[in-house]
Amino acid sequence: MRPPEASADETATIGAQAASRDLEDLVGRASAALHLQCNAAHQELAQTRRLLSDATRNLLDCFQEAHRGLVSAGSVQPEPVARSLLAATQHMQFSDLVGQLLATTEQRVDALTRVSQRMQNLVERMSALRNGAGAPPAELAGEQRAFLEALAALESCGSSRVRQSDMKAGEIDLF
Amino acid sequence: MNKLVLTVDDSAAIREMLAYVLKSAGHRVIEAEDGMDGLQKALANAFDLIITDQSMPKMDGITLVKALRALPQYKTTPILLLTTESSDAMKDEGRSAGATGWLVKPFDPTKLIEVVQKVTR
Repeated sequence: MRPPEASADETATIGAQAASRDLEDLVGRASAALHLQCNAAHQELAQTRRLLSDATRNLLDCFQEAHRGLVSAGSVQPEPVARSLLAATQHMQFSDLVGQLLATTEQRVDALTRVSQRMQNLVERMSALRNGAGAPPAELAGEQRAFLEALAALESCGSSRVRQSDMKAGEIDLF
Repeated sequence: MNKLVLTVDDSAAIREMLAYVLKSAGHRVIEAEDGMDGLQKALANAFDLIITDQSMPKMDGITLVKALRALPQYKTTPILLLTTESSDAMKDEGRSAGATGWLVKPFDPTKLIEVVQKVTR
């Protein structure tokens, strides 16, 4: 005897559940990959910061050593050398600017990491709930809240970038 | 000439470059690492000029300017804000706090010496 055929409504429901599961898996996979890459980016930024800091310290020491060498050699510094050292003071400031950009980027990556982590948690809870092994609804609501908070923090990163739109580097405005 | 200048910046590179440029122009320099450190050093010395960064830990530049302007001995002392921020809104905030001028990083050493001469005359 043939089993009774599923109605059109039942077929649509089964289809929708399968599509929802697929989407959940996809979002879970995406958030896991995002989280992994964010952690890697965070470590690379920290490494860049260390390299920049060491290189800056070495450059500053070399700069001061060159200056001391010229001073101890006696007489007045040759004009071109003095000019070059003075000009170098502007270029040596790059580390401060790069440091600020790195700090801003680190903040963005950290905010993105928190969102990806929260997204992963949320997908896991929803999946467990669907499989009948979920946490109480209050916990799921708490996870949703935490995700929304992390998302809001990420969205607010947009307005904290380093701006130099109204004046150019080196410009001076006396009030 | 030979003014006593306080430089306030959390970046060692900026502090060292400021000190180099100012000393090469004949000034004496005392360095501070943040606004709080700057305020303490300002209370312990009588500076002719203060150059401060804006974004710093513990106390930012604009807060430092306000704190200094509240002290009788720094009511009229020139205070220059040296910063990567150059938006008009931020500049207006600096002006309202009582800053004398706004310098955008990376500073040009020749222009800095000129402006220091001008504001400390």
